[in-house]
Amino acid sequence: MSHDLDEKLARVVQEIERIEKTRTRFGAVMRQVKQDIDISRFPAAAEGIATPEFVKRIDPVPLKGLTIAGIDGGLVRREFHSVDLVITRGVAVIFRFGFKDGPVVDFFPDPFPVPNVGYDTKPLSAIESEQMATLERVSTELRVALSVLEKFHTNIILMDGSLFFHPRDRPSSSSEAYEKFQEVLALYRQLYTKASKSECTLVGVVKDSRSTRVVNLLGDILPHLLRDPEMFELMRDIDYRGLLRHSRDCDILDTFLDEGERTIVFRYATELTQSHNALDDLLTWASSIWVTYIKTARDDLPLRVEVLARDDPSSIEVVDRTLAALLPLSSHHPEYGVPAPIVEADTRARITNREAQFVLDRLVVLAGPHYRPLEKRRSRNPFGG
Amino acid sequence: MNTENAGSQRLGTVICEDNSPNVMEFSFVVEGGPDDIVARRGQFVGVSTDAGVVIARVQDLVRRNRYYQQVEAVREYQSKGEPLRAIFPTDRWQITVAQARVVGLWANGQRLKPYFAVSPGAVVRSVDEDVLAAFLHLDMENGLALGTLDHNQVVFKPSLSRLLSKHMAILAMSGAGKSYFVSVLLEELLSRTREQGRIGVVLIDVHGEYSYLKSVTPADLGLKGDCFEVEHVRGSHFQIPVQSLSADAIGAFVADMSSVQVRDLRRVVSEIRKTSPEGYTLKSLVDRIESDDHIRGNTREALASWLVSLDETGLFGIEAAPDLRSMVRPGKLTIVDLSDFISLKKKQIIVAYLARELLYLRRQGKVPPFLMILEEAHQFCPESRYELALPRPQIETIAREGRKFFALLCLISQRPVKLSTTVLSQCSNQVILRTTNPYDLDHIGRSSEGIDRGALDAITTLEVGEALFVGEVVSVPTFVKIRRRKIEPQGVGSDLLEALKAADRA
Repeated sequence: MSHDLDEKLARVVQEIERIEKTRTRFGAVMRQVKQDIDISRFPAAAEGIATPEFVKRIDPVPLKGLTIAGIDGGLVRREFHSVDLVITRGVAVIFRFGFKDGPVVDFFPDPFPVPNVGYDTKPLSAIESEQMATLERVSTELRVALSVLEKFHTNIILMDGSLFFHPRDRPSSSSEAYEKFQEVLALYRQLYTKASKSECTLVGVVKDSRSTRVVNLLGDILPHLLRDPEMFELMRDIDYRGLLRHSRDCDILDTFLDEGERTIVFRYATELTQSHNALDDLLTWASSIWVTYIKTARDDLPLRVEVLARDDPSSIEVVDRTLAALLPLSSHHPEYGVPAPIVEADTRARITNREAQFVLDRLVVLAGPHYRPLEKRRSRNPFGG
Repeated sequence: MNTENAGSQRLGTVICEDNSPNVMEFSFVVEGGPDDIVARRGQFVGVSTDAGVVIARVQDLVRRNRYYQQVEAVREYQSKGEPLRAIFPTDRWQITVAQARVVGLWANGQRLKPYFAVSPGAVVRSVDEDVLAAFLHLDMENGLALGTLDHNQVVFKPSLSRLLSKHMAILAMSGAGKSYFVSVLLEELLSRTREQGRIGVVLIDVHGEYSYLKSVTPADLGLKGDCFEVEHVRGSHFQIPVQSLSADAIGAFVADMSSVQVRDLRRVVSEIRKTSPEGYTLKSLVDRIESDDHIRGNTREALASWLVSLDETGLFGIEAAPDLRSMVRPGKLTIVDLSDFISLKKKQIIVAYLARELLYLRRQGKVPPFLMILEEAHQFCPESRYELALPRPQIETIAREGRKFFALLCLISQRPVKLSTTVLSQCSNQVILRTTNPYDLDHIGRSSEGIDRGALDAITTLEVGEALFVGEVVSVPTFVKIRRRKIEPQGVGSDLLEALKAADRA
């Protein structure tokens, strides 16, 4: 048994070593050529990309005088036989940078808001239940963002996660969750409209993006670049196609992006078109969301950053200005390049098991002695596990 | 819910931890902002319950902040030279958790042993002044106002009876405020009215620290009339009447007189008392011994030698000075100033004589109840070197038997470890000021029943002028800030630099 396992693990190790070696060699080549890549030379591949340069250095700006909010939501789901509970909490932290030692911070609605409790008594499928819970969390976050836009004068609002719903969260029109989905879409529209009318820049910070937009771009342009004999020589014996096939944007960009560098800036809509599941009325807004990756910390993966900006030539300036403010917020820890307001919001929004248990205990107390919320069998195995 | 204490300041909320709240301990999260100091170590706090107010004392305060829990993260975030506060609102995560030890349950005006745990979520408040005073057995009407409770704005007024009736020891390292505390105690004792009950005080002042009190008047203490009296007796003016001393009493002044020598001396003393009823001196006694043929040569020489040696102290004569009966009176302070003497033996002879005679007179009812305050007590009744401690048997006798007759002791020492264990164990009350010597601390811990490890540790951190009261005077060991004295000694400098400058000017 242990001999078999070791053999299998050894094969995995071999594969990892091979990929890492390829990745390192690929990164070394890309470091040499990244500044020379001109995307505008490849019109077919560059559709939806607003910048000709493949990478660009961003200079951080002082934060004095800026007000930057971070918004995050927490979610805990508890499934019972009679009712599914969704406990969510949305919180905004508003950092005002002055001349003092550190930011002055306000919280909305409170430093530690009481969680919202949603429930569903209809028998949902596992996927629907998952979608319902996520939509509940997203709607909580969007409502907090709308309130912040109304009640605070902020320069930038950082949302933890994408500015657009994920295709996986879109239920079918016959689903019990569809109504909730419509509600979330309405909130998105309100947020985009309100943000675009204000002077505040709405930003989505995606910590662990699974997107492959840049990887695909590289897959498209590298064969052209390799026509250059010098480049061909550099890339010889590197299985870049295999590498790109198995990599996500963040993984591949981590091999050659330096701290303070961003990649191309592209429209969110170009990704939606590829997945064919966007709603037409939101496509307009998706065209105003600009996406880029920026390396904020030396030893951390690049961050995917989405910025809502007007669909005009000034939009890239807005993106770069936003990134210039994002850098000093994110570059304090060499291995964790997440902006401080997001870190703070994440901590405050998180719902601990103890808190969730408190809600459940309270539910039982209020429901009286006859009510016993029976957890799913897998959760109450008498032998644990 | 018991409504006692409900109006006090809200301090926090009881929380759950691994083993608390339990009957004897609980923790509470302290209210207020990150820079507010709402609860303090040593402070008494209360939790109102249906059964009464659970009273506890804050043992320790722990500050928590999730931003500083991961040391690696702190190091990395601060590696660029900026403090973590410059990046995150770290101050908003600061939480103070107070750990409190239950000292009792106050219910229906009585102190009970705690028998249940307070509930998590219960509100913790400061303790009402009245409740705390009653709980600690303070006497707010007739007690001695010695200071204020540490961190609770309650005047510490122990009852005179509880404080003094079973002897008291004042223990501290040098410079911790022993003499200052004694001054405050004396001010309070002198300020008492006849209705409150007054005690005669005999103060053995080894270093002349209290001689400034000889000129104090009632007006200095804000009193009217001649309600107290202070007599200052210089050691050099002290005279012990030889005819009042039995052979055993004289023998007690000599460390190693044998029983044969005492027997012979007893006979000689008996004879001279008959022939010289008007009194005699040690010189007369020596003459009588030298002319007595019944005493063997060696014994005669030894006795004569010892008596000559005693006579050379100049402490003995025919008349008693001062008169011990007039020395002890209600409301009177007699300061026996021994600072004239360098010889420890002379000091010991006077203390031994006073201790024996005062107890005797009190037993006979010839003097009122008195308090004998003994500075540098370890010099007079040490634990070891018995042969060099002439007054020790007399002091031990008062310690053992004196309280039955209200012949009371107040022993002061900076070396508790060197003080007779017999005497120390008879002192039901101890006032402990700052002490850092580990041997002394250990000795205090072993000789004090009411003192726990936490209180013992706190003794090392006491400020000058802070004291821990342990014993029958209070229901639980209590930290007290000693009040300022009303009369400051004039011309007594405690600062070396000032003394040097004054010397230079002269």
